[in-house]
Amino acid sequence: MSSPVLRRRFEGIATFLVVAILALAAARSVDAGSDVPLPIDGALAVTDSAPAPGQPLMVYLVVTASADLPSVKLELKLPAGVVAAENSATTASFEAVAAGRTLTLAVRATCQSSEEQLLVATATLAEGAGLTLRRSFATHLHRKPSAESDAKRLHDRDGAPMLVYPSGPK
Amino acid sequence: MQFHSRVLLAACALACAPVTAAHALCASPLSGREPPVASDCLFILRSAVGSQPCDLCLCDANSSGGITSSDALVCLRAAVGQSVTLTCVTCDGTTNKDDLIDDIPALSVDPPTPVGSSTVTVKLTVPGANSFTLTASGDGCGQFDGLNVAMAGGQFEDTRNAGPFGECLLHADVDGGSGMQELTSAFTVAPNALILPAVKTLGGIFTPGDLPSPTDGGPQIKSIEGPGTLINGGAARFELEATAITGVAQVLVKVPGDPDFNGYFVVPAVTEGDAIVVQLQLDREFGSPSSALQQRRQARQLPRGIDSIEVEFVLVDADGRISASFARQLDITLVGTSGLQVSLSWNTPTDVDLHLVEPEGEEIYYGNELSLAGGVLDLDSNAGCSIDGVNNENITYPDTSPPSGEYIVRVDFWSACEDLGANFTVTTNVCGESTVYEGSFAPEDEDFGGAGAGREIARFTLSCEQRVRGMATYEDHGQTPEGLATASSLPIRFAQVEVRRTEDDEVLATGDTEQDGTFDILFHNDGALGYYVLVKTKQANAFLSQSVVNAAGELYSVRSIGSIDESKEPDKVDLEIHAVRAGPGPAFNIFDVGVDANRFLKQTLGAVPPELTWQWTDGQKGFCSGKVSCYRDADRRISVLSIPEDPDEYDDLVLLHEYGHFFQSHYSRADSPGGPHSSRNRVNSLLAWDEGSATFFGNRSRETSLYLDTGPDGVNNMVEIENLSEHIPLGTDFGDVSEALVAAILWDLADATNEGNDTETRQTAVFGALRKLGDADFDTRDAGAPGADLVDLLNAWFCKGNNERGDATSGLEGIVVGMHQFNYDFPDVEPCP
Repeated sequence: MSSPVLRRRFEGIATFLVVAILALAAARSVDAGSDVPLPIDGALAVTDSAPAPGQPLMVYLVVTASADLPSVKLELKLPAGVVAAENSATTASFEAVAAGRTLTLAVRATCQSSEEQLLVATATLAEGAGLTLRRSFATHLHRKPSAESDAKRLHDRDGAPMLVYPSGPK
Repeated sequence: MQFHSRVLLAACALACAPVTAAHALCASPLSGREPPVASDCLFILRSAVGSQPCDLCLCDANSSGGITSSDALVCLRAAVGQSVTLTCVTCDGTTNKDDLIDDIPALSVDPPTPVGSSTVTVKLTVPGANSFTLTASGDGCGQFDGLNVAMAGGQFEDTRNAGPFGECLLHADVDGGSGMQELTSAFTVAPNALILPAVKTLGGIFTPGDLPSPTDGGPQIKSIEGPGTLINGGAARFELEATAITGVAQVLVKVPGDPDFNGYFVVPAVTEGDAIVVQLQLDREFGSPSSALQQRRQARQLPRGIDSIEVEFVLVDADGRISASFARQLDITLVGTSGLQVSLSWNTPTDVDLHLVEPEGEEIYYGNELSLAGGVLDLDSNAGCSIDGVNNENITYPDTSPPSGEYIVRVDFWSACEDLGANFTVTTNVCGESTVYEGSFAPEDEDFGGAGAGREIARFTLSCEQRVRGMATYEDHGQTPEGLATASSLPIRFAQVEVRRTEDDEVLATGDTEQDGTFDILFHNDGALGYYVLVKTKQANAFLSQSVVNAAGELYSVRSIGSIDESKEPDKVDLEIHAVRAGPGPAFNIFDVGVDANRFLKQTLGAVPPELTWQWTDGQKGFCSGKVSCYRDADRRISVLSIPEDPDEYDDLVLLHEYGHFFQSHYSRADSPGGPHSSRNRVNSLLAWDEGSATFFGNRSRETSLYLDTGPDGVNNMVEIENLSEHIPLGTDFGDVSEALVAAILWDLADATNEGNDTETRQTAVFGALRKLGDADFDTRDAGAPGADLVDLLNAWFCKGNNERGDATSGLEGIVVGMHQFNYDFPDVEPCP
C-alpha cells in the first residue's frame, strides 16, 4: 500500500463502508418508544476531515429508509471553500424507495481552504406548498476545538450550580 | 403606518405651490430620492384627488397620461422596495436631480414613524447660498435631542438613533435672501419594548388585545368587594361574587395602560370560600419617577394627575364561556415609598389600623404618626368609623433611610363600625422585595386598641441602602419558512435575578424580572464595594416553575458587565443585561418559550402546571434516543436537540411541540409506542395521536397553523395544518393515520379561521375533550386500538356534551369526515359523569 493514490482509494472505500454501516445501524436502531421524526436516517462523512488546500476528497451521504417512501432526493450543499469535481453530481433522486433500502450520494470535491467549514446534506422526502419533509446531515472540515467558554461557575442562592456568562452587545 | 400630521404640514409648506420643477426623479416630487419615500406617494395621492397640483413628469408614475391613485400605488410599491418600473414622461429642461434639491428647501425624515431606538435620517437641503438653523426637541429625538445646527449653506444630513418612544419635533429657519422660510417636520417613535400598565395583577400575565365579548350561559359577576382606593406599592384584594364560582378558570382584568399596548391581564381564578380573589397593585414607583425615561414611561402608562381609574373584570369558565364585564371605579392615592414601605388594605367600611414597630422599639400608628427616625403613617383611613372608603393605610420613610434592624408589623381591628368583619392584605416592600400577607377579622375582634394592640402579621430585618434598576434581554431569532430570522432582542420575562458582591460573589439581594424584562432591587452591601447583577434561567413561584439547565445540570445566567460602584451610584438606573446567541441567549429563548406555554396552559385550562426542566447543551444531542428533541415524563424534563444538522434551541414550535407532550402527560393522555413518523405517512393511530395532538398544542399556543423545524440551511420540516398538502394522506388505512391529519382536525375544530367545511371555532371544547381524555374514569371508555387516539378524543367530545354532530359539510362531521375523510362512526356516547 505504498502508492498514495491506492492509499487514498482504500481510505475512500473504507470511509464509505463505515458510513454505510452507520446508516444501516441508525435506521435499524429505531426501537419501540424512541422518537424518530422522519423514517430515514444516515450519515454524512468525508475521506479526510482536514484536507490541505487543493487536495481532493470524497464526500459520502448514505441514508437508509425505515419505511416505504414515494421518493427521496439527496442533495449535498457545499460551502464556498469546497468545490465539486466537474462531473460529480451533488444531487440524486430516487423513486419508490422500499423500507430498508440504502441510498448513496458520493461526491468528489476539492477543498480550497484550511478554514473551518460545515458541509450540509439533505434527504428530502417531500417539498411543495405547505409541506417540506427533510432530514439534514452535517460534518465539519478543519474543525477547530471549541473555544474555552467565558462562563464562570457559581452556585445560585438555592445552591444550584450555574454558569455565568457576561452580558453581550445588543 | 401612520403619517404624522406635521410631516404633512411640512410637505404642504414645501409644495402647496405647484411642483413644476424642470426635472426631478419620477415619483419623487418631494424627496427627490430614488427610490421614493412614503411622503412622495402621499403627495401623488393628493394630486390624484385634486388637492395638489403636480407635473406629469413627477407624479404620473405609470405614464398613463394623468395622475391617479394607481400612480400613488406604484410609488408606494417602489418605496417599500418592490420591483416596479417608474415611467414618468420626461420633463422639459434639465434632467439633473440635484436641481430640485438646489431649488426648493426641503426638510425630510426617513422613516417618519421609526420604532424605538432605531436609526432615523434627517435631511435638510436648501439652495446653495442660503443659511439655515436646524433644531430638534422632544422625547422621541434620542441622539438628535438638543440638535442645534447653524450653517451658511449646503445641506445637513445625519443618521442617528431615535429615542425609545415619543415625538421628535424638527424645526428649520432658512434665510433665502428674499426672506425667512420656516420648515417643520416631526417623527413619532413607536415603543419597541412592551410597556406594562402601572396597575398590575398579582400572578397575572398581560395579554394584548381587547377583552373578549361575553357569551351565553357562563357565570356572571354579581358584586366586587374591596377597597375603593389603590396606593402605589400596596396590594389591594378584591373579592368577586359570582352567580357560580365552580368551574371559573380565569379572571380577565383590564386596566388603563399605554395606548400602543392595549391589553388585559389573565389571572388564574383563586377561590376562597364563596368568592374569587384578585389582587391589584399599583407600581411602587408610580408618581415618583427616578429618571426622565421612567417619567416618560409613566406618562404613557397613566395620564399625569389622574386620580381615578376604571378597572374591568371578566370571568371565563373551564368551558370558555365569558361573562359580561363588571367595572369598578378606583381612586388613586399616591403615598411615600422608600427602602421600606408597609401598607394595609381591607374590604369593608370598618376601622382597621396599621402598626409598625421600629428596631429601637418606637411604634408608628394612628396615635404616633411620625417617628423620630422619620417613619410616617401618611394614610389613615376610616378613622373612628368616619368612613372615607379609602380602606388603605401606609407607613414609609419619605425623607430618610429607614434604620436597619428588625421591624414588627401588626394590624389592629379597631372597630367593626356597623358590626362588620374585614378581610385585609398587608404588603411589605423591604429592600425592593414585595411580600403580601392576608388575614381577616370577625366583628367581635374589635378592640379599640392603641399602642401595642393588634395581631402580629410580619417580622423582618431591614438592611438595604442601595438600589439597582434595569432591563434584561436576550438575542432571539424567529422562525420563518426560509429559516431563522436575523437577530432581534426580546425581554427576559419572569426570571430570577440576583445582586452579588463582585469581590466574593456573595448574594446581596434577589428579585425577579417583570413581563417587560425590567427589574428593581434594593440591597445592602456591608463588604467590599462593587456589585453586579445576574439573571438566570430559573423561576419557582406560585405561577411559574421551570428551569433551563445543561447536561451537567447547571443553570444558565447572564451578568452585567464589570463591577458597579454603589458609593458612586447608590441608585443605579437603566442597567442593561443582554444574553447573546454565542452565550446563554438560546437558553433564555427556551426559557421564554416555556413562559409562553405556561401562559397558554393557564389561559386554556386555568391550571398552573407543575415544575418542568429543559435540558440544552450547545452542540449536543441530549438524552433522547434519536436525533430529536423529546420529553421524558419520569423527571418532567425536555431534552432540546442541538447538533449541527438540526439545532432546535431557536425552533420555538419544536419546543412547544415537546411542551405539548408535557401537557398530554399531565392534563390529557397519549400512549405512543414510538417509532418513525412522518406527516406524509399513515402510522399507528396511537403514535399519530401523540405527535399530532402535541403539534396542535404547540401551534395553537402560538396561533399559527404552520409547523416549522429549521435546519442549518433553511427549513427541515414545514407542515401547514390549516390547508393540508396534497401529499398528506387523508383518511385511514387499517387504523393507521397521519399525525398531520390529527393535528389538522384538532386545529380546524379550534381555530377561528373557517374555510370549506370547517364551521367550528371551539377551542375551549377541544381542550375540554383533551382533559376528559386524561381522566381516570374515561379509561374504561377506550375505543378502537387500546390507548388514546383520535377516536377516543371524538368520543370525549360527545361525552362532554358537545352534541352538535353537523353533517358532511359543516360542524364536527364536516371537519372530521367532510374535510379529512376520517371514518369516525359517530357512536352513541353516554354523557360524562
